[in-house]
Amino acid sequence: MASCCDFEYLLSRQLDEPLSPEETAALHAHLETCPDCRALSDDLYDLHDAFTSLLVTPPDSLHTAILEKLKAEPNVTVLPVASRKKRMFRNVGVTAAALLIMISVLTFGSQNPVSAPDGDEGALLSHDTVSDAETTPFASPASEDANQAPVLPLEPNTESVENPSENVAPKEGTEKQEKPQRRSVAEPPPAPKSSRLETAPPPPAPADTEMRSPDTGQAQSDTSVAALPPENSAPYAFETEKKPLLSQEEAYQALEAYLSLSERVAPDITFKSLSKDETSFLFVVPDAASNPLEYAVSRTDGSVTLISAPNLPASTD
Amino acid sequence: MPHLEEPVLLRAAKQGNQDAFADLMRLYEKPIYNRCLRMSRRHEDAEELTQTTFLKAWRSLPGFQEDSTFFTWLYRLATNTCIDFLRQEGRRNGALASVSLDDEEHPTVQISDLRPLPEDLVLQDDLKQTLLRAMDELSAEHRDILTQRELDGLSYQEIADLLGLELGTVKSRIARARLALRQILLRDGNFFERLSSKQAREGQGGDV
Repeated sequence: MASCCDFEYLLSRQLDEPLSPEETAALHAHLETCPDCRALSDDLYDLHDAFTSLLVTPPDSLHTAILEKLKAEPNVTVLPVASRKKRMFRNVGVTAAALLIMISVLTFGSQNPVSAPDGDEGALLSHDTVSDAETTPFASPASEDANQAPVLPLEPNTESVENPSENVAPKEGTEKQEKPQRRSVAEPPPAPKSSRLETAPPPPAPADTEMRSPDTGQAQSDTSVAALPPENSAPYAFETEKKPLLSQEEAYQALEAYLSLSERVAPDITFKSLSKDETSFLFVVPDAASNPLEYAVSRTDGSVTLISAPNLPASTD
Repeated sequence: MPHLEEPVLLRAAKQGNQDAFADLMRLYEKPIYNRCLRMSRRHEDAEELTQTTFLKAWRSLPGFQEDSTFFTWLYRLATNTCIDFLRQEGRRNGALASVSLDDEEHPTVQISDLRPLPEDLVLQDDLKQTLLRAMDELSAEHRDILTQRELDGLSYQEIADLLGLELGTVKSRIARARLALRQILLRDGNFFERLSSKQAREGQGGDV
């Protein structure tokens, strides 16, 4: 038979969280027979209620005052690109690296014709995440007989790939860094272990390394998507680094890709600063009426956030 | 104190929906205000601090990783906001006599002065005063945890997270704190009888 001590504990707990049916039954059975615990139970309930009376209800004016201040805050809107990317980034460690390796295969394929061995696959690569992730039925000649089509040209996606970089007219004299020039396509990732990419035998080793670019040496480029052979992702047996933070250029590319897709105008993007909490890069982009809009690109997942700041001064630099 | 609608509101608020955030505020402004009031001991300051807390929350919400409950996160934010404020104000009225401001990493754990309310708020109510005096007699450990549970409305799990304790420890410590508080109140007289008769009066439609 349990002692009163055990029930004291239950009497306290029942004020805070539901007891199990067994506990409730045992407690009630005990209370039937134990006047001390009944008295304790009543007192604890009373005490619990008494505490409520100590709470002060804040004046209604407080709620409205906070809301007023909130309205004056910059309006932050997370653009759809964020969630789309998030989904893609679930497997980003492996997938992105695989994609980039394939990009390098493609790139070098054109410069440095790769003799495609059996099982080699041409992959259709695309620069921009959103439209392709969304709409392109990835042309993935994953079947074995695709092996004689080593590299597909970029034709189908040329427009979306080229628009952003070619039309960009970056503000001069700002602290922007070097602008990417079709980098994400032309540029191979570090892809150190590409030789183990089982489903797509690698290009000759020299090609893979010679164009490696140190400043974008992250296995994860937000804006790069490639057609992967469906159902074939598991065999990519190579290691990747733990999600590194985006570089400023990668963030720039993510924003550029997003803007050119959604607005069909050449984005005029100026790097502004790293956010105070260092979680994102802030860029300024004029809208149609030449009002500066701030965009934040998260360093961790590349999601683009529009911060429409009405009070942002026209010249931000 | 989980609310069914909280996940939905939270998601919307994180995406910049101010209406959703306003609803979240409705859920939590009272405990946050009371938290600020206990730490600052002045209504004006508490209002200011509550405002600051929610504005900070709004700004940093997109970065909230949801590794704790929203309320725990908010509670920490409020606590840190109050600590910053009190540090600036100096140790006014001895309110911070036992608060260690040195431990930057765990300021919430270090707040041992959780005495419930500024005395002037409850002078008119004898029962409340009795309860507060009894709270003061508790050990700091018991007073803190009872305050977090009963006044701040933190759940067992939230308290365990904040204090770095096992869930079982939190439950039993709260039970022991309640028993100790009851002993003090029983020793000092007829608190429970007066409480019961007051509640009975109010229960019988005393407002009319």
